[in-house]
Amino acid sequence: MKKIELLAPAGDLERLKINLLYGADAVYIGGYKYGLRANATNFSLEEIKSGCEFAHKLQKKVYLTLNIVFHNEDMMDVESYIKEVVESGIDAFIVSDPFIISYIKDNYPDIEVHLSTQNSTTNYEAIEFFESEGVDRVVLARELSLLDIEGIIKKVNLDIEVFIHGAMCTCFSGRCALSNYITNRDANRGGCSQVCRFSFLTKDKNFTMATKDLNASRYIEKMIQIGVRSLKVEGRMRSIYYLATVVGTYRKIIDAIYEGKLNEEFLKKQEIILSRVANRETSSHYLDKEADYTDQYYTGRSEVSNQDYLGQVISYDKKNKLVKIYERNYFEVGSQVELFTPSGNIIPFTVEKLFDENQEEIKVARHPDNIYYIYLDTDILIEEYAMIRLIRKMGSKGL
Amino acid sequence: MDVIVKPIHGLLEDYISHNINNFLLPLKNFSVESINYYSLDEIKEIRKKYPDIHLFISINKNILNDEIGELQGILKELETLNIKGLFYYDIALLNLKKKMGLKTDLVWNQTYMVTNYKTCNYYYNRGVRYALLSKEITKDEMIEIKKNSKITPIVEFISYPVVAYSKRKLVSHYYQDCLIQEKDNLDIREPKTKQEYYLIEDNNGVSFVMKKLMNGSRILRELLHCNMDYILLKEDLIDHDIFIKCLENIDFYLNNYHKMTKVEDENWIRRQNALLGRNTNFFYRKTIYKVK
Repeated sequence: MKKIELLAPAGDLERLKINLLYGADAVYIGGYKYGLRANATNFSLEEIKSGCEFAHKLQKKVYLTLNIVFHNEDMMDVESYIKEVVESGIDAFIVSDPFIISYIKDNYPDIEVHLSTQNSTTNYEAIEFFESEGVDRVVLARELSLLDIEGIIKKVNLDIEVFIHGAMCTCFSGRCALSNYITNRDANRGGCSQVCRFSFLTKDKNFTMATKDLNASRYIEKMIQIGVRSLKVEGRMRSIYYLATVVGTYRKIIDAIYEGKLNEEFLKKQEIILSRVANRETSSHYLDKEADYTDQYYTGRSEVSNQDYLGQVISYDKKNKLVKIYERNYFEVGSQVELFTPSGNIIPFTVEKLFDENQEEIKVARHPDNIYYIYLDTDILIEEYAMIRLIRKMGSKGL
Repeated sequence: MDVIVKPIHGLLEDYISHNINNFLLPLKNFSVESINYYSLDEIKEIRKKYPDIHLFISINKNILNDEIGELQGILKELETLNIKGLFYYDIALLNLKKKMGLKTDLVWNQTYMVTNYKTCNYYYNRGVRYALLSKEITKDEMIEIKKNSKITPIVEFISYPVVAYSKRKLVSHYYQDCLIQEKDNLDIREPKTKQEYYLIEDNNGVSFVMKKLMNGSRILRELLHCNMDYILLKEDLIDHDIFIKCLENIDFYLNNYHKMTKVEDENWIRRQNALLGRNTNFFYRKTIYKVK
C-alpha cells in the first residue's frame, strides 16, 4: 500500500529544507507571481530550482501554487512563467483557474495539476468534471466531514488531498471578498488581509468571527483508512520552529499508524506538543460535526505568543560537549529543555552550564539573536536544523 | 441590452409593467446569498402565471454529495419549465448538464472568480452560455471581457453587494456565545472604515451583505456602447418603491440614451444617484494585492 503523503508549506528555501528534513514527503511553495500569498517571501526561479534539486535528492516533491483568480492582465505573461517554472523542476502546479489547468495539461502533460482548495470543491460530480479535464488531484474544501470525504473518495479515481492542520478561513475559500471591500486588497489574488480576524462592532458588544486553528491529529488513522492521498499542513508564513514541530509530529503519528504502534498515550503526547507550538486554540472543525460556536472566537481574540522555542542548533562540538545555538527566547541554567532533530531524535536535558559567544560562563541567556553554548553530553546524532524547546522553566510546571 | 431583475415579490406585474421580462429566482435549499427563495412549486406557479417571461434560476450553493440526487430530480423538472439559464456556483452543475443531457443553458456565477475573458471562453467552449461578471473588477475589465470572449456577459448593476459567504452559523453562534436571544441576522460595523455589513443566516450558512448600495448608473452608457448584453438588478434590501422608480429611470435611459445630450446624461445619473447613492463599487477602482 502506498503510504499517505505529508505535504507541508514552505515560504522560503530554509523552510523547504526544514520541512523535508523533518519528514514532509512534499512541500508546496509560491513563486514570485500568481500565488495566493503575494506578501510572503516566496521563491525566485533560482530558488525554485535549488529547492527542487534538494527535494529530488531526497526522493521528495515540490508543488508550486499558481492559484490566484486571474484577471485579464494577469494572463499576459503567465505562459512564459509556467514554462520557466516547469524548467526549474517542479513536480506539480496547484491551480484554481480552469483555463490555466487546460493550458498546462495541453502543453506540459507530464506535470501534475492539483485543483486548489480555492475552488471549495465539496462533491464528487464537480471532481468528475475536473477529472475529465485532466486534473490529477483535488484539494477538498475545508468545510467537509470525514463522511463527506469518504463518500467522495468512493466515487472518484483521482487523488484527494485534505487539510489537517493550521489556520482556517471563516468563509468558503474563494467565496470571500471582505478583504477587497474593507482594505482594497484582493483576497483572491494573494492580497487577503484576513479581515475575518478583525474586530467589528455590533449594537450589543464587539464581534469577531476568527476561527480557531484546525488540528486533525486524532483523525489521521481514519483518513488513511478511507483512502485520502495527501495530508496538507497550512502556513507558508509560519516560523521554522512551528513547521519543524508540526511536520515532525505528524510524521511520527503517520509512521506510528503504519507500524501499528499508535496508542492513546502516544497520541496525547503528540497533541500536547502540537498545542504548545500553536498561538491559537485548535479544533477539528467540520471533520466530525458541524462547526459550532466553540470553533470560533466570537467576542475577542485569544491568541498567545509562544516562547517555547529557545533556539536553532548551529553545531555540536562532541569533544567539548557543547551545543552552539542561535537563541530565540530567554532561558537559564536549570531550565528543562528538549533538543529535537529532523530524524525524530529527542534529547531531554537540564541546562547545567551555559556560555556566551566568547565562551564565558553565564547563568541566563537573555538576548534573542545571540549565539550561546550549552553543555550537553550525548552520543545521539545531532543533525543540521535541530532545535531546542523549553519543557519547564526553573521552578515551574511543564509538559 | 436586457435587464434581469431579482425581485423580492413573487407578484411580477409591477416589474413587467416597467418592461422587465427577465427574472432571476433563487431556488430554495439550493441557493444562498439571498433574502428570499422560491420552492420548485412556486417556480412552477410563476411559470404558469407568466408564460412569456424569461426565467433564470439560481442554484449557487456549494453542493454536498448527499444533495446530488435531489438536485438531479429538480434539474429534470426545471428542464420542462423553459428556463433561460441556471446560475451556478458549483461545477457539479456543469457535469450534471453534460451527463443528463440537459438543454437548459448555464450561467457561470462563481462570484469573485469571473474575472477574465480566457476563462470565460474556456467555459463557453464547454457549453456555458452566460457569465455573471465579478462585481469586484473594473468597468474596463468588464468591457475587455465582452470584447474578447464568446460568452454572454451579465453585469451586476444595482444591488447591495454580497461580499462573503460562510457555511458557519456565525449569527446564531454569536447570540449563543453572548447568551442573547437569537435572531437570524446581525448588523456589524468595521470601526476604521465605518463600513457596515448585514449578516443573514439560514440553513445553509451566513451571507455578508454590504449596507451600501452599488449603483452602476454612471457606467451604463459605456456598457451600451460595447454592446453589453445584460445588466442585473437585485432588489434584496432595497425599498420596493425606490426600486420601481429606478426601473422606470433605466427603461427611460435605454430607450433614449442615443439622443440624450451630455447634460441630460449627467442629469439622469444625478437622479439615479439621488435614489441609490453614489457607490460605484469597483467599477473605477482597482484592488491591490502586493503591499510591499
